[in-house]
Amino acid sequence: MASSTEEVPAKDEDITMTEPSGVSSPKELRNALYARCASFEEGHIFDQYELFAFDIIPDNSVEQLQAYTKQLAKDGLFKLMTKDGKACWKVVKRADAIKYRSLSQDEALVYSYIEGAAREGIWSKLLRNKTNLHMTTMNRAVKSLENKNMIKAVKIVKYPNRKTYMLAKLQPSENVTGGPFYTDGTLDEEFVHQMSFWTERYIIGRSWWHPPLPEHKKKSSSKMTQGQAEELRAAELRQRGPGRDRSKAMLPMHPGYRGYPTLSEVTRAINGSGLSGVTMKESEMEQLLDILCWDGRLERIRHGKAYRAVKQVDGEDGVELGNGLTESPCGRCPVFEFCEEGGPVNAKSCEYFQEWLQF
Amino acid sequence: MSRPAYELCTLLVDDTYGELTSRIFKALLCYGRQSLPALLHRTDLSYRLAKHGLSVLVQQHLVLWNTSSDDHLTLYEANTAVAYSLVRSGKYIKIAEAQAGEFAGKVLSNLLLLGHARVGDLVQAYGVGQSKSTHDGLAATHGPPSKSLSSMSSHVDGRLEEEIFTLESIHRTLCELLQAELVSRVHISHFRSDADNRIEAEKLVPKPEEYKAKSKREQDAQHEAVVQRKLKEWRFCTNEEEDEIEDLKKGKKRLHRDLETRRPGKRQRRYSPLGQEVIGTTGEDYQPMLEGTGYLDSNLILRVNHAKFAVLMRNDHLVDLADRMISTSTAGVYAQVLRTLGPKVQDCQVEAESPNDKDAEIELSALPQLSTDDLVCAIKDSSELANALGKLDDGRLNMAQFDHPKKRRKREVFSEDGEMVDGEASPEEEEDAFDSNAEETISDIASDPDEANGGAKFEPNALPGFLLDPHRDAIRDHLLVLAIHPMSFLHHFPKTPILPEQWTIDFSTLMKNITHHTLLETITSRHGLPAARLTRILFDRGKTDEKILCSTSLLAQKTMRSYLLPLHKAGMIGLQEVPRDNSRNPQRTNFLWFFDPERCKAKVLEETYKTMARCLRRARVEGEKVKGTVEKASRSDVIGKEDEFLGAQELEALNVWKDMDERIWGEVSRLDDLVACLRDF
Ligand code: SF4
Repeated sequence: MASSTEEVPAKDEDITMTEPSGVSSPKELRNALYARCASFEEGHIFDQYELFAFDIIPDNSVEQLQAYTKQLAKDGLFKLMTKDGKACWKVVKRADAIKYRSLSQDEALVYSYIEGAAREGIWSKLLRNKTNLHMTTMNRAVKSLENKNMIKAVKIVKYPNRKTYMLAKLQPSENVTGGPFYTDGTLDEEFVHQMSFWTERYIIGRSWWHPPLPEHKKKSSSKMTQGQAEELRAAELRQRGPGRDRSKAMLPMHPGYRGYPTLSEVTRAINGSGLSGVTMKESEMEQLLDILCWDGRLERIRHGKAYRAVKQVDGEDGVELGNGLTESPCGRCPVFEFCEEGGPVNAKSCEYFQEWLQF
Repeated sequence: MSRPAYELCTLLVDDTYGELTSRIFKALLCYGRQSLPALLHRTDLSYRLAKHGLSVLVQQHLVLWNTSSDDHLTLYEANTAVAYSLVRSGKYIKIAEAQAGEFAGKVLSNLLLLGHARVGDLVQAYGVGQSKSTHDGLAATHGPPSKSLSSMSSHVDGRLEEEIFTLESIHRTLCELLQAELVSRVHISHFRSDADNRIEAEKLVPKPEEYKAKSKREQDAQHEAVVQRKLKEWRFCTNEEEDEIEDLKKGKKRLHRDLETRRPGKRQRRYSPLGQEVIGTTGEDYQPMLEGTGYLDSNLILRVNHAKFAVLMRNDHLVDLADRMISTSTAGVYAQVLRTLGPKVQDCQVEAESPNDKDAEIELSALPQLSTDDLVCAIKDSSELANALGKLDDGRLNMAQFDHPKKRRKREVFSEDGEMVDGEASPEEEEDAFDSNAEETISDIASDPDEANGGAKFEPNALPGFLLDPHRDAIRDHLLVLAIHPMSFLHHFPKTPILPEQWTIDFSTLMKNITHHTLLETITSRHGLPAARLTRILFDRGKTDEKILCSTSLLAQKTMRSYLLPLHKAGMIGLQEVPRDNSRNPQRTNFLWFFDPERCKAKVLEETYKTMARCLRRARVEGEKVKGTVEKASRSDVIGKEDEFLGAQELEALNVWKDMDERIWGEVSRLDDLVACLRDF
């Protein structure tokens, strides 16, 4: 998530580099080396041989390279790393390097770990373990970094109670935010409800035959072009919303019917509906469809490839409620466990029953 | 069975047969199997009374007994299954009426009250002598019912006297009941408990060592199979094995006799409740009501066959479900499927003939099947069926998926050669094309079904050599709708080169699905939709940690907890603690939620029993309140003249009580539906 402003200084370097230089001062060479490396994609890791290959270091002398990289690392422009026990380097952007330089040692340490965690963020406890700093020292460092607007605290959906930090300029990853169903780390129930409501209606409309409504005009049976058909449907959608309601009068589709919506179709449809501000991914829609299945509102058909609405649904706005057990007074009785002949609660003196009998 | 179930059984026995019997029954339930002296001690009854009570209970099959051949000690044991089924008497009678007419219902209600009875006694109870003319229905007598029957005539609205019975009609009714397997012969094993039966069976069949098998295990398996066969044969009163064993002893005589009598094929006999032994005629296949001679043997002893009633109740339940989940027309077709399969299904419990389930496919094909033609013949009118399915405008349907794989391949070849008549793409291509141009395929426009039908472009049968048969197609379509339903109402065997298209019902899978559905229905209406969601997740995903459960269920943690805890408290789901180390510190423990359908089912069943018991208790309490009035109203001089003898208040109280009683019993019957669904089907 690099902002474009940070690229500017790098470009400056490019200009300096293009100047042909016969004999250069160590500083110029350093700059040239840095510029050359910065022109690679971000996060590229250079080893010794790559750096030599740039043909910037005079005579390919190891000592010189060592001196330059050391200085660059000191300036915060290079980051020294090791790979298989050999030294290698990563380029740090100039703007970042300036920030780094303004930091205290502790802060820099803390910052580097937070930076390392990237979009996943790092838990404060883990941060302390890694930096091996004292609690108060670390807290101070974190505070000051926060004040400098370099890092921010984020809420992780899975562990809402853990203090987690990441660089201020980064967008938290989906693991952290929990995807489109979460806002600021809390579940957006209204959004989930809206989406599932729409999805359900969409699928109902496509998985059952709704005997023609009275005002329904018979469409011409001649084949229409795709454009015409889509227009027609769009008109229908405007009229009646995305799908149709569940009703007792729904009839099953012919067994050879192939229009039961699949995951990708539902995803396409919901993205086309403009209901959600963000584009839904298939995996996210699958989560939503799973929920609807678990709610007993949809069922999988065609070996799980497509979805169909369940015709009769219990609960909430359900038409039919439960069975013999749940409708009887005892089935919903709070003192059911204690109710016993001769006990303090019994069928003889039971008020719930009285109520039920009189209904 | 649990304590509430015992209470329920005792209450039922008490309601039906009175205090003495229920006292003995209760003692047997509480203290288990015991001998008469022990029973006397427990119940404080006199020897005579206890004997009397026991004999009534044994007659009703409410008590099982066995005299051990070793020490000649007779032990008695309560039979809870039969006691529980007392609550179903009303349903049984209705079913019998539906199957074999109103009179059958009455005969059955007698039989229910008597437990088991000799045909002769039953006939006599209706006051018809053997000598009466049977061909002349007009000359039939008005049978004054015997004492025992008049006592129950109140159950059938006192209309018993008005009926006209002929010997013929009674026999015919009994025959019909026998044929529908609603009543069956009584076998000595019906008086013994399962364990005793097993011991007896093991005594009769050869010992494991006597089988010719390689290993001990195989011997045991063979032995087990024989024992099971024996038990089954006792249960359904088919004597074939017994005969066979005897025949074996007799050696060659058997062949001779077989030739002589031309006994019907083994399979056929197995399902025939009317083996020769039943009616006492040998040598001929029994035809109900042969002219003049078709009476049942009056020494034949009959009882109510609970297993078959359960099957019929299950059929009703299934049809009802199909109605609710699919459509009424489809349910109609399903009802016909079940009716046609009827004679082949004796028992709801699937017999585990081969406990080592190797291949599900093989097992499925062992189930009773029926072909499309069977149904096409059975269903007369399909005009309404054809319009009960939704179709698309363009009539593009993928019927190839229901063909046998081989045939599918063949069609593909066809299309490659460009010989396909209707120019339809091969199924595979279609499948591929399906996703890409899905937008086209989905159309919200309800079509005129006739039009789509008339196009016939999609008909798989439109291949040369096939005649279009709209009647057959309509039925087949509905069958396929049933087959593709996730509940797996029906299993489809596609047509093969040798076999015609076949259908079967895989009851064990179907019932598993339905039980699951019922449990979740209960959870939904008790704990709410999110609770059902959580339970289903637990079922699908297995044991789950709270964190994951929270993110999969898309519920806020607080909300989720507010559903999980009540569920846990109600015993619907379980919680397992898995310590991460030896410290057993709750902080270092993983808590996993899980849903065990069996456990949940047991819990729901137990609660249902208890609820039923509560309802019965309450019914009694309500009855007590108006006891005086009820007694007065049922006095012989008051009946029919209630308005004269009873005051306005009394009448009012009586009516209120009647309503309440009806309501409570209605509820009990609904509860019984649930028990039936979870336990018996
Ligand atoms: S009888 Fe009354 S107190 Fe007892 S369980 Fe039923 S409703 Fe509850």
